[in-house]
Amino acid sequence: MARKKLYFEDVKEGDELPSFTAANLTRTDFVKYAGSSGDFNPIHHDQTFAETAGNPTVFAMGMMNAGILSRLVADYAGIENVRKYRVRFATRVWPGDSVTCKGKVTKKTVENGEKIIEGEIAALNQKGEVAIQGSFRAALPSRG
Amino acid sequence: MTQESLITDEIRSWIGHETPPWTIEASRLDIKRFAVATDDPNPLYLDEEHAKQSPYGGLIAPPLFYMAPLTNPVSETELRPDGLPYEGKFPIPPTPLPRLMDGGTEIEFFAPIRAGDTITGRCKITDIYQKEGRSGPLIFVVRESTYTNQNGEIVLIEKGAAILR
Repeated sequence: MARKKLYFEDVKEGDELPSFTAANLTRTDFVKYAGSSGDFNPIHHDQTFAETAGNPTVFAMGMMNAGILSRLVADYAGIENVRKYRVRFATRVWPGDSVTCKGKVTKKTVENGEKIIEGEIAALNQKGEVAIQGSFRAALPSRG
Repeated sequence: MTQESLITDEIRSWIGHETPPWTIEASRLDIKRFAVATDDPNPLYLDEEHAKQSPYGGLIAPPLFYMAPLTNPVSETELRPDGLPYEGKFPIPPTPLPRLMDGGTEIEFFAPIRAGDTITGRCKITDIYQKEGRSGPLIFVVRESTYTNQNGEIVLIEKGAAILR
C-alpha cells in the first residue's frame, strides 16, 4: 500500500497524475460523508427536503467530491509535500454518478531552493462533465 | 455596472467581522471515518502500525479533514431554505438573497493534523462584493480561516467564498 516516493527529477511538465474513479456514488456514500463531516444538511440525504428546495433529488456535498479529488494529489505527490489545493465547483454529483479524478503537471520550478510542481486537477462525471476543477502545488524532494 | 447594489452599509460593515475561535480535537476515529467516507485507503490515515513506522510516527488526517469537525450540527428547525445553518462557522451577513452556494476554496498547508491534535479555527470575512449572475444578482462573501494546533503552529489557511443568490 505504501506509495512510491516521487522525486522532483522524475516529473516532467505534462505528466499525468494516475487517475482513478469513485464508481457509482450512492445515497449511502452521502450519508457516510454527512456522519464523518458533521454536514447534516438534509438537502444531501432527504428526498422530500431536496425536492422542496427545487432539486430533482439529493446530491453529493461539494466537499465530499473535493475530498475524493484530494486523494489524487496526496497519492501522487505525497501528503507531506502538498502545499496548496484549490477547488471550484461546477456541476453537481447525483446518486448513481461515477466521479473520475484526473490531473496533470503544468509547471516545474525552483523557488527559494524549493523544488515546486504545480498542476491542474479535475473531477468528471460519467458524461465527462466537470464536477470540480482545481489546481495544486507541491514541494518535492530531490535525488540530488 | 448599472445594477442596483444590494450591499448596504450594514452588510459592508461585516467586512473584517471575525467569528469567535472554535476548538476541536482530531481523534483517531474521526480521521478514520473521514478517510473511509472520502474513499481514501491511504494507510497514513487508517493503519496505526503503518503510520507509526512513517516519519509522522502516528496517524495523520487527510488534506480536507479540517472540514469535518468544522460544521456545527444544528437542529433542522434552525436551517435556512437551502438546508444550511444560519449560524455556521463561516459568518454570513443577512441579505435579501436566500440561497447559498459554495464558491470554491483554496487551502494552503503548513503542517499535518495528527491524531490527538487540538485544532483551533478562526474565520474572518475579508471582502463582500456583488456580481450579476445569469439568474440575478449574486453576493460574494469572501473569508479566510486559519487553523492552528495546540503548539500554536498554523496547520492550514483556507480562503473561500460563499455565494448568495
